[in-house]
Amino acid sequence: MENKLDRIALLADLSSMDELLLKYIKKLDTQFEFKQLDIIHWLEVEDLPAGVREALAAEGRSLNDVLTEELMEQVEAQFGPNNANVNILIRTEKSITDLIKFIDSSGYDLMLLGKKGYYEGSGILSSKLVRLSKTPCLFVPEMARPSVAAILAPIDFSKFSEPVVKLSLKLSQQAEASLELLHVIKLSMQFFPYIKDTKDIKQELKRKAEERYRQLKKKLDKTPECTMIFGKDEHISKTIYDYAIGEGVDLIVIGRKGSHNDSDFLIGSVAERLIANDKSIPVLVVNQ
Amino acid sequence: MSKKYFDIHKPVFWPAIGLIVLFISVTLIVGDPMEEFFGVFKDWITDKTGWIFIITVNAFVIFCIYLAFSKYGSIRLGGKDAEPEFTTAAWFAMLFSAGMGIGLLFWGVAEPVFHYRSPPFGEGGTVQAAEKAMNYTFMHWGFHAWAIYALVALSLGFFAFNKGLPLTIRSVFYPILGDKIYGWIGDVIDVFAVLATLFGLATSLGLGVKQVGAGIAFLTDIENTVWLQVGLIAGITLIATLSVVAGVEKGVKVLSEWNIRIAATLLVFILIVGPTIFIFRSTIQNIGNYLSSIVEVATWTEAYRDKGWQGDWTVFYWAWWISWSPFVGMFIARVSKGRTVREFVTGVLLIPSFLTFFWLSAMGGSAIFLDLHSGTSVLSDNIIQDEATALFVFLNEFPFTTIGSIVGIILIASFFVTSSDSGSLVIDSITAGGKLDAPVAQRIFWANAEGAVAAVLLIGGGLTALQTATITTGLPFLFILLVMAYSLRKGLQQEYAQQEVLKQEKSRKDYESKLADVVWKNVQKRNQEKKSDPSDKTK
Repeated sequence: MENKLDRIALLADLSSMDELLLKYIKKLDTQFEFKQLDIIHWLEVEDLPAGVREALAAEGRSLNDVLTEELMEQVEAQFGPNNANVNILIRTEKSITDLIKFIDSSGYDLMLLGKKGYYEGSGILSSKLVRLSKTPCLFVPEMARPSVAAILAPIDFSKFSEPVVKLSLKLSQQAEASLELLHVIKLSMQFFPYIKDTKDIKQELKRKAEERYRQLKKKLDKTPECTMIFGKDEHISKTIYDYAIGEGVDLIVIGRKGSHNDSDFLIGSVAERLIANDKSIPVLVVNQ
Repeated sequence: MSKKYFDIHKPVFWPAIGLIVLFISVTLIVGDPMEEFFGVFKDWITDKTGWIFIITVNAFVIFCIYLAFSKYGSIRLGGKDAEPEFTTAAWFAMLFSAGMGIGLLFWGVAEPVFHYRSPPFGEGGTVQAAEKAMNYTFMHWGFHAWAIYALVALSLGFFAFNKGLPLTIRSVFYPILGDKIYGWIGDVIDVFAVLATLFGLATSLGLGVKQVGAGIAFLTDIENTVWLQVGLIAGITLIATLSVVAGVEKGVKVLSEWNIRIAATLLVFILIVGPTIFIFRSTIQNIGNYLSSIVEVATWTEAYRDKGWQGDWTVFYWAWWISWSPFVGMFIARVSKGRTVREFVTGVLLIPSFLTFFWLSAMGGSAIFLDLHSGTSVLSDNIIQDEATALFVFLNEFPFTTIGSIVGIILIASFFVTSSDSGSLVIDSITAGGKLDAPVAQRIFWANAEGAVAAVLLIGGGLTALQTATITTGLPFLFILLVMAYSLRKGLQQEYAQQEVLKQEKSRKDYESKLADVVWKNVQKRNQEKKSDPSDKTK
């Protein structure tokens, strides 16, 4: 594999999520040996309550100093002192579009996002980032196991599947973790209400999926085995999640969109529901 | 200041120059057979593919109206916070001058009279023929024509201003081709657009000055020789050059505004000296007629009989507008930053159309009126004899002929200048790789190249041949436009989705109180540390 995953961004929102993300990345670091970690906080306001402003003025410090200090304290609590590779960046971009421009142009291999902060609405930043940024977004839930031993990459052989496989391969090699591809074959029964015996159709769908898998394998050598399962009468995200839990997976890598590439939405329903519903497995959303 | 005099995109600039020289040489050397060859080709296109034009151009009108009234109507060219670069009045003036002004001067009188004398149905010279004549003329110059321009302009403007792609034709293929537009495919598309634009402009300029010359000869004793025409080209090119050097803001914009003022003067003149009440009455009736029969007229394909009328008129016009659309569309895009899709479509589709309708009713409509009431067909005979002098023959019917005619000549010349300079700006932009403002020397080069090509073709012959050739590009561009519509919708869809995501505001209050919380804690902590360790100094 040409290059490793080196540069990580961590989006801090000053909530308790920050500590969790730091703990997680710290553990992962022992496995991955990242080169650089940038902790980014987007300072969205310029106006502070008068009392706070005065208190800051009295000490001759800026908000920037205070926040850097606070975040550094947390970093030191996790990583210990002397962290030359950890930077605190307090960004003051005027709009989220500009912030995304900054992040995308910085060339991060991954950015860590908390699923939820403890004040209302902080999840909105994550939801915008995952939709608009080109950097892969790793969502870390509260109950995440902080190690990567088994990676699951659900694919549907659409545009995003190739980058998903590429990134998962990188991850699995760097972390020496197992990697399994998963393809859920969905039989939409509502289209065939009068067909009792679906065996033939299932066989045909499976044959087609296997053909597409072979094409993918031709393009990317080292493509690992792909498990094919039939979807049940539920949303595919649920099928994937249950499978992941059953297999003891600790990272799911998925494309932002699937084959139903409807431009009206910037994120596919499978990725969206995986991020929203899952409680214990980190989800890495590949954006390009 | 940059010392660069030329800032060219080589893979487009040089092939374009090479092909222009090649085409001209071949046309000059081969001579008449070339005209025949292109003529046969053009006839084949209008004859066999006419129905594709008819249905597709209708689809463009529907597509434009759909965009304006859909949820995408609120998307602004240049992003949410973009502001219009030009006032609405100046914007209209430029749309009009670049897109149609010159044609309206030549055909405004002549076309309705042509249809009136030899209508597609029924007998010529009757009241029915007069009504039909206005109906068909309105269609050729109305919503359909402007929809073609609107589609191209909107696509170009959207991909240039919202997606940050270069302002050239290739950019509209981005959703389909992706980064391949920067490769050879993109270069080919752009070279094609340059050729269509340059030949379209140069041949119109060449044929146009023939007509201006005819006008001068009609009014004065000066003979309409080739040298008079070349002199006119030189004059027009000179003014156009000055205008492109001055840039859009000081050149094209100012000239366009003057065009509209002079055109308005001529219109008012006709209103006063002509059949005033008839003009107002007929404008209303003609518009009603046009609107009520638009579906029938616009989908008529001459299917049950084939007299070739449609190929000569409607399909010819559609091909003509389409072959001009890269140029006019790019120019309209260039001046439309900051308009919303809805504003844009109403601005480009509706308002120019209605102004055109008024103009046509006043010019051609009045001519028909005079002819109908004269009892003879002398006037209409004289008009259809030569569309170049039609305007002057018409003005001759009224008092103060000389004043009217002089205004007419000035107007024709100044519309030519604006077509020429806006065309040069467009070619500059394409051959500079999509930059909005190419270096001055380059602008001068293209403005003069246009004049030179026109003059060479005028002296050597072959104007008609190349103009015909330009019109034949209408067919391939028709398919390009279809792809454009698809691209544009896809792009707008994505833009809209992004806009919606960005709209969700995170609760600012919660964030502020959280921030305040963090700061307070930090300050208190410090204070405590200070108390416990008085020797610690803070800045």
